[in-house]
Amino acid sequence: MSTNSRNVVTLHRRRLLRSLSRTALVLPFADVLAIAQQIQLPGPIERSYDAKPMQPPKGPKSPIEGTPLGVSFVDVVKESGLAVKTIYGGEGKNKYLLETTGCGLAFYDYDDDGWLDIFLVNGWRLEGFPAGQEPRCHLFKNNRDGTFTDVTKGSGLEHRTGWGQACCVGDYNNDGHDDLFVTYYGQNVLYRNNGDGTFTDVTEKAGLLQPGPKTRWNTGCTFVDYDKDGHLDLFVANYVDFDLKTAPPPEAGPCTYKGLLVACGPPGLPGGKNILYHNNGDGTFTDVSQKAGIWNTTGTYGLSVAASDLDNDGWPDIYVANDSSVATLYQNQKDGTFKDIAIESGAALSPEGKPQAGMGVSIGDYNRDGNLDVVKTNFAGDTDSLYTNLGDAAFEDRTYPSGIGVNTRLLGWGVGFFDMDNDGWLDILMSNGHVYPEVDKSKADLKYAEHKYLYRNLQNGRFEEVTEKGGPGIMENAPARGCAFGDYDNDGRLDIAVNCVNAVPQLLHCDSTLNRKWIKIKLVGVKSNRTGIGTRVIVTAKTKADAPKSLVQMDELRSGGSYFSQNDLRMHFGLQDATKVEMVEIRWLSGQVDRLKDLEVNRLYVIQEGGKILKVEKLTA
Amino acid sequence: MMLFLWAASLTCPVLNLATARGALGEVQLSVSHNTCRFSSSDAELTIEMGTLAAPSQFAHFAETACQGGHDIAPLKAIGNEALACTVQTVETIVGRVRNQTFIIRLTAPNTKSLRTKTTAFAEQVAGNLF
Repeated sequence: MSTNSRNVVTLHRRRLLRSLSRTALVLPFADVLAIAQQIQLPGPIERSYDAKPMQPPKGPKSPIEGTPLGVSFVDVVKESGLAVKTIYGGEGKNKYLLETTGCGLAFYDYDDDGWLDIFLVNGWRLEGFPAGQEPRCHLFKNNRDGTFTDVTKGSGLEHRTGWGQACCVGDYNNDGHDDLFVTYYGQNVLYRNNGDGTFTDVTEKAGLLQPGPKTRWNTGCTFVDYDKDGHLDLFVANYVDFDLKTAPPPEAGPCTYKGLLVACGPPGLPGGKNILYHNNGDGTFTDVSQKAGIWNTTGTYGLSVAASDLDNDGWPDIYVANDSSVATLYQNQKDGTFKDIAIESGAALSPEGKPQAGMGVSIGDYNRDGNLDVVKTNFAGDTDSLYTNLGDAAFEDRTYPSGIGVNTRLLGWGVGFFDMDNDGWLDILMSNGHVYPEVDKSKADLKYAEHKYLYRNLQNGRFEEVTEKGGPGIMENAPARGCAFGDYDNDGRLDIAVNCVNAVPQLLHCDSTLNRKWIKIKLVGVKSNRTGIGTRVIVTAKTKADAPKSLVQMDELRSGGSYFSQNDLRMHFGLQDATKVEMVEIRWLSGQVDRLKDLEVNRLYVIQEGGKILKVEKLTA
Repeated sequence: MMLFLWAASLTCPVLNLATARGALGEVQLSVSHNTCRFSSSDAELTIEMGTLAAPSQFAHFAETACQGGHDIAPLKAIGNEALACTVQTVETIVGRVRNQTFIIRLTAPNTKSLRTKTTAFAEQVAGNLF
């Protein structure tokens, strides 16, 4: 298809989406009135999606399709010492939506020893807990032998309790120690990393206290230097304007799912307002949400967040997966403001122009065309979404053509583009689990604990579902929420950690029979933010000896993402059979461009802004 | 109350047909329950009315009506309070006079002047409700 005809198709599609979405969100007057008066919900609410699972249209077969996977994910949580149960809401039955969202986690090298540690967000229950038995977030230190030690006590992270949601990491004060931000239904917490294994709660000092009397339902977060001043700003999505004193119980609607009474919402409940905090460069932040245009889009039930330069203009944009609503794409206007272009960009709705229940989001260039694409998890009964970036943030919904439209049954949360087999092409994992624990009592073929979805990139714009080939860790049912991707044992293969609801987490180790090459890049900003978040890295290598040309891979370093989670901040690129990396190009947010040639494979390179290689490490592979 | 006489009326009590036609061209009026609908082949203006239990509920009411919308702006000198927004491509104004509330929604092809037109309609509606 020529560029012109493709543009015409895209234009028609956008017009169609606009016309379809016109009525979708214009609430009937009676509903508006009922919500405003909070007397009762507008009537019975049954949350349901009914997308048809479909195989992709026939096309040229990839030589990879149907071949052995070469990797197997095995849950090693018991051996790892991470087996501490995450508490979140009631078990078996939930009264309120608040009990359903669960928690994220972080692969986070808090002590900068080169080994990924794990931070697990924890939650709460409606009835509370006796003193001394409150659930708390956990920090596990990597013992470098496949096991972890709980070092929460004495770390400074143990004091806060509550309905924990997401976490994200970034060095907000550019002191060389990556800091930790944790969101809550209630007051969020910014933990300054003291660099000695301890943290200090600097929320108040940093100006991040949220004024009452309303309790905010803060959800996904990301550190993002949106104004490129070298200081990491902070974006926090908000879900529902929710008050336990006035929230409707399941009987109020009544709110049902497959005939079962379930927690009400978010449809019928007022949406929250996302927040953008500007980093003042002196350890404090200022709420600039309104003047930055964030509140021009409100009430969209924001959950997960991912920030990246989606229109290739050198400025980070922000994508928000919204539950039961159109997604939001805040395009950076380069003047301190944002404009929501999600609908016109084509990354907001289903292929039929319907709002979906977005949960998690990941960004990556899966087709290696130099544009960052978006994958989003959605509700049970619906497909997940794959939005392919045609450039300039014009997206085409390739859910069905790509092959990920083959599944509609499970309910997705965490998600990640990641190169599981080190072939240089991004695969996809989705962590699933039903939102309603009541489904375990249903006669329908539904379970609260669900298995993962795993898709292999066929290198031709398509994915092959390889869930059943992905190992016992993929097929194991778990009530999953957030998941994070990182190489915790430094063996050059990406592993997955999953936080679950009222269950122990999962640590899915990637066992591989493939002896493929890789390179990891750790960034150290100087003029740009110290963590290097927002930096674009382009890796060029000849990944196959018989390939006519080298493979060019591109990615950006991100804070937050997936569902409420943080991935390894060391950027990982699979290189298959490459013997060297021809070029690593690093485009920092400051405008600095560094090019390094002829780098070794199977190495971690720590690269400072300006191009200085601070360290080359072979790791243990 | 004026609102409860609508079903039997052939006119819209808060905006007359001539005013609507002056702004939108040849539109037809239909009135049902609490709604006036002025429509033509390419434009539709609806005015819906209701009563809040308390004026303090208006903020929540307006926020809900503009949920998911953009270009949200408070309007001055229209009723006791009013808010404009664009929900998808529907130009919307939500307003209050004492505890009577209204939502004006306009869809029309010329998107540039929609805000101006809805604001003019809102002035008429609020004025009639006082």
